[in-house]
Amino acid sequence: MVATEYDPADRTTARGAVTCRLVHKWTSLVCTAFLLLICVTGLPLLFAEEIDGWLSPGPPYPTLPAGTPNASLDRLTGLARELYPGEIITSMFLDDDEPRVVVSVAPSWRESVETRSSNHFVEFDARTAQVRDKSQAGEQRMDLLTVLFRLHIDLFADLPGNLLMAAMGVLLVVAIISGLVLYGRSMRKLPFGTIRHRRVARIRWLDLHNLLGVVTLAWVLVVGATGVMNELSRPLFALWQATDVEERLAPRRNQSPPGQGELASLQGAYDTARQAAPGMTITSVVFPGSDVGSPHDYLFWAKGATPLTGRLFSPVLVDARSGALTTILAMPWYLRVLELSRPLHFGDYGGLPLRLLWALLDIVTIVVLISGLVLWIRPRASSAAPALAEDRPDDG
Amino acid sequence: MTASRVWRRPPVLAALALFGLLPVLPGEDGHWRWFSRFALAAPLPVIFHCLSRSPARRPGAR
Repeated sequence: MVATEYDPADRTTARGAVTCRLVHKWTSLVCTAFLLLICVTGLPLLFAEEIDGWLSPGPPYPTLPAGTPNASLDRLTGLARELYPGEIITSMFLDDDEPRVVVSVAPSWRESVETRSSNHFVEFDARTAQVRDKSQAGEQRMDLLTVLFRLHIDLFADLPGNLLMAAMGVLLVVAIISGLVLYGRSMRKLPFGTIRHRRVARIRWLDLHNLLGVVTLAWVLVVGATGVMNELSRPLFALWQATDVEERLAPRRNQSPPGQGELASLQGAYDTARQAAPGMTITSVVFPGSDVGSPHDYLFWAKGATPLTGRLFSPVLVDARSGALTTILAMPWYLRVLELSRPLHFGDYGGLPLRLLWALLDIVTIVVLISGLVLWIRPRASSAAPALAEDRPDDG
Repeated sequence: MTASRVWRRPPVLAALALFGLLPVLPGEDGHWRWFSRFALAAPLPVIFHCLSRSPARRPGAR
């Protein structure tokens, strides 16, 4: 999409430029529609918390004396079982921003995996154990943010969708690199940032595409590459489970996993996990039997308290029968890279100003994509002369 | 090349953007972290400047 100059004296360079142009053109074209969707859906997702607060504010929290202790987790699991008799608890989310606990429930582990809609939840006030919200099995809560989020990450296609979007991200990275090579050639005779207003519309679009593309290059490259990492999170976690976790669980392979009626006190296991990970905050627990946990243990996810360690989660396994600490698992490097890539993708490490900046750069990227499409749709006037003409400075 | 033109060059902009992304790594909050975060905003005034300095289109020009 970027003009290059044909120099008969240097056929190799010219051939390289043609190849580069072809690579840039086709990698861009293949991923442009997906990237437009990602950029458009990503824009409101930057402000998901605020939008969610406006659309579904939820019941207000009662004002309680400072230092009011939280309800026992065993009480919350007991209440959840009373609400949904015969069902299993799959996980629990312990919000560290608001005093709430969300208990996830499903008819069985099998249905939980095979039928996404069978998973539902009950939300408690963490202090009073009052039910704040709940859903039933099969109830589809498809609010605006959920739709945008699913479109953004997997097009409602689960793992195949994740992999497709990751492939589009890789194409984006290739398009950026090939575009940069072409940019260097096409701007040799032009001052930086020139917009040749006096030339035909296609040249103006080309200049706009070049300017916006090159000034946002580093940001788009980082957000694109970290997006690919995020799309690969499920395969990466599966790899970790199939290797490191499986190795640690090997000695108990022949033991039968505990049923939900045989589980040790969750509050006791939580206290054990907190003692094992001092100074860390536990944000969730996965019950034994989950595909993303251990068949024999509660899996607690704990995070640190500093800006950096707050991004890094450590899994703590507590035996679900005895309530004794099993181990603190070490996270492999690729999952650490994944964790560090998240704030770079979401732009959520600098408050609202940084998210506003992310939004502006996202809009600029949308313009780059649209200008690229315009350049493809509007063919050059003829095949030979324009390549030279496009390199010409504004002569008006 | 004047200083005002230096920061409009692509490698400088890329370096500024990468500097702005760094605060996700080190420890506690501080003034330099805020400063570096806003280095990411460097492309915006550059875009504004380049778009506004270009002469208006002459009617009928090609």
